[in-house]
Amino acid sequence: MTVSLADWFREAANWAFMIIAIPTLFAGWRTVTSNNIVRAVLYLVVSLAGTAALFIMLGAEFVGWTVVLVYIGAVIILFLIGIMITRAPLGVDADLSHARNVRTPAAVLGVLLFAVIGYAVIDAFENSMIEPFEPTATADLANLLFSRWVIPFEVVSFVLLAALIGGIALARKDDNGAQR
Amino acid sequence: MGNASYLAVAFEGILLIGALVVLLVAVVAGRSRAVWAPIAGASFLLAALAGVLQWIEVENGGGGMFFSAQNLQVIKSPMVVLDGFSAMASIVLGLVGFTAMLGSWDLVAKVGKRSAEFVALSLLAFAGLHMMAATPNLVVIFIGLETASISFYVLAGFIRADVKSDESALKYFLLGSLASALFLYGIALTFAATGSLTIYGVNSIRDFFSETVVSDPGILLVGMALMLVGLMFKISAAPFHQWAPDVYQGAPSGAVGLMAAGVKIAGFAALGRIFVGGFISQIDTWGPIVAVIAALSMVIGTTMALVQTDMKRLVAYSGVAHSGYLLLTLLAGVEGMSAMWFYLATYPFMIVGTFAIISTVSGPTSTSSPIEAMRGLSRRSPEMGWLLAIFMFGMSGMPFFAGFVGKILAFIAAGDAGYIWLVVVATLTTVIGFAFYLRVVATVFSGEDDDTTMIDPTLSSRFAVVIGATVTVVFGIVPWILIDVVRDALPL
Repeated sequence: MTVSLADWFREAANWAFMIIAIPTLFAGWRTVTSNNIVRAVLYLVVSLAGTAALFIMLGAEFVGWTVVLVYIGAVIILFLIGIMITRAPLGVDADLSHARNVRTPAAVLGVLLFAVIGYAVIDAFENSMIEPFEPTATADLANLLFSRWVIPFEVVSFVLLAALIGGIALARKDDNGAQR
Repeated sequence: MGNASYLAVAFEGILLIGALVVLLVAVVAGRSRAVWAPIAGASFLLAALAGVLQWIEVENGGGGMFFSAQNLQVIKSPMVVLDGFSAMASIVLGLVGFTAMLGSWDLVAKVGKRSAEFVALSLLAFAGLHMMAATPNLVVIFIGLETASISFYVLAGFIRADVKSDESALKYFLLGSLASALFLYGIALTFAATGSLTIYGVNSIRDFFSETVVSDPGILLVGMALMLVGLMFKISAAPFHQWAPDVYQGAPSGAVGLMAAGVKIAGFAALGRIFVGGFISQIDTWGPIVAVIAALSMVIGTTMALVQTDMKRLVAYSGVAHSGYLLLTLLAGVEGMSAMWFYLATYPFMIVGTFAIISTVSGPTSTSSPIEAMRGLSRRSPEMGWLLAIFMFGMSGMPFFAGFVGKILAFIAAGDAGYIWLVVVATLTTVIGFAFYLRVVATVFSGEDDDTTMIDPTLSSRFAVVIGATVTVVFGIVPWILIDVVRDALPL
């Protein structure tokens, strides 16, 4: 099945997709190119919000709102607080882009990986039409999570425990200075 | 079924309980190391014992697949599997973990008030490592990998006051996260291609291959390739090995044995489970790629090890070469699994023992350990000198040491699979490898008489080294004991 460009533009969902996707991409681009760390973080907010909107468009409500709550709500705030309390230099920081000599190879590698994966995905699914579907209800997700996937769910809590202990172990102050 | 399902997760359960008990004891009973030494040791030994019980259960026809909830068997998606493969992983990881913990004890003594965290993280890491071997579900393999990786990132940077340790931890974290992301991407694409996340069971990846003719393999190839890259990074196979020497050198000496040995075992267990257990029908596709990676690892690992002046970097590059030898066993498919487990049951003990000696000679918190520091070790501490020689002989593949038997089994596996050129490369690199292993031995047994600073190893590192050396020597002289056992260490 081939879709003509005119048909593509006639579909309202595609317009919605473009309106979300273009700012998301732009914000992602600015996140890695901005010399100002606070601006980079704020661009990341836009990029993540766009991702959340795309998830909601796909009918994955819960994932979309999780991105908003956890990433935009918590992680970004932590970033900002982290920048503030570590007295990192605010404003333009030339050091942020000192690695100019690796930019080109990194960009080439990124584009190459994108091309390979993009090609593979399009190649695999080009002719298949995705049936219209109901948005995934959070209740269904919860039912699966606490039945079929309960073992991975439990194990994830130990990943978090390890991360928590690790964070404390690295950040805690030694009062006896024994680590030397 | 009820008891067996508890037995299937006994290894993880014991270590997780051990980790929580250590943390609680640290709060309640103060932070005296003497309290949690027995807890950590007992956890690892009990976990290994659970592995033995699992093994007996499997030998008696028990075992099989286990689901999150038994009443949900309608959705046949197993999360835990109990077979010879996972039972063997329990035994090996439990014993290596115990030995490595003994080798790390000098460091635990040095990190003062943070020692409980060190012990708890080690226990959690090994629980995650075993998860990678004992689950048929790709998502659970990933979660296990992350549990172990996050713990090891922290262990690498445990000596915060040392900039090199920080750098090592950050490097490990950034590159390791990238590898984990690639692995996860591979899982997602494999799911897109096969419609399944599980290797066994109904609607599994294996069912997919037996029922479907893959006409358009593009997405599947990319998925498999990304998973392969992710795991190759973890086992430090060339060309994904650049992190290993820097991280080994920068991490505190006392912690490297634990990290290096554990990741090797679990990384190969996951490779065996996924590629031999799940993608065995595609072996003609991934076999040649693994063969090239194996050849690169052996050549790069050996040649780079020749020019190292630092003991830890040398062991890191030798680890790259050993990953290459271990990859040979994957090429033989299911027949190679017993050879892989023989290697994994012996080589990690040599790593642990070597790092216990490095930690003794250069200090547990040290971040560099020049080979010159080993000069005259045979006089300064005769037992450490002789045992280091044993480990070097073992790693080099000298006859009558376990490394020799492991290598021969790996070569036979690759030869049976038809990769004769690879066996030739492996033999050549083994011969070249003697050069740098014997250089270390020569350094240990040379030196002027003026340097007579005696080294007095602690009891725990003595134990670690002696256990490691015993494994190296015993399974080098009477290897058939272990060969008979690992013959049954097959994936379901």
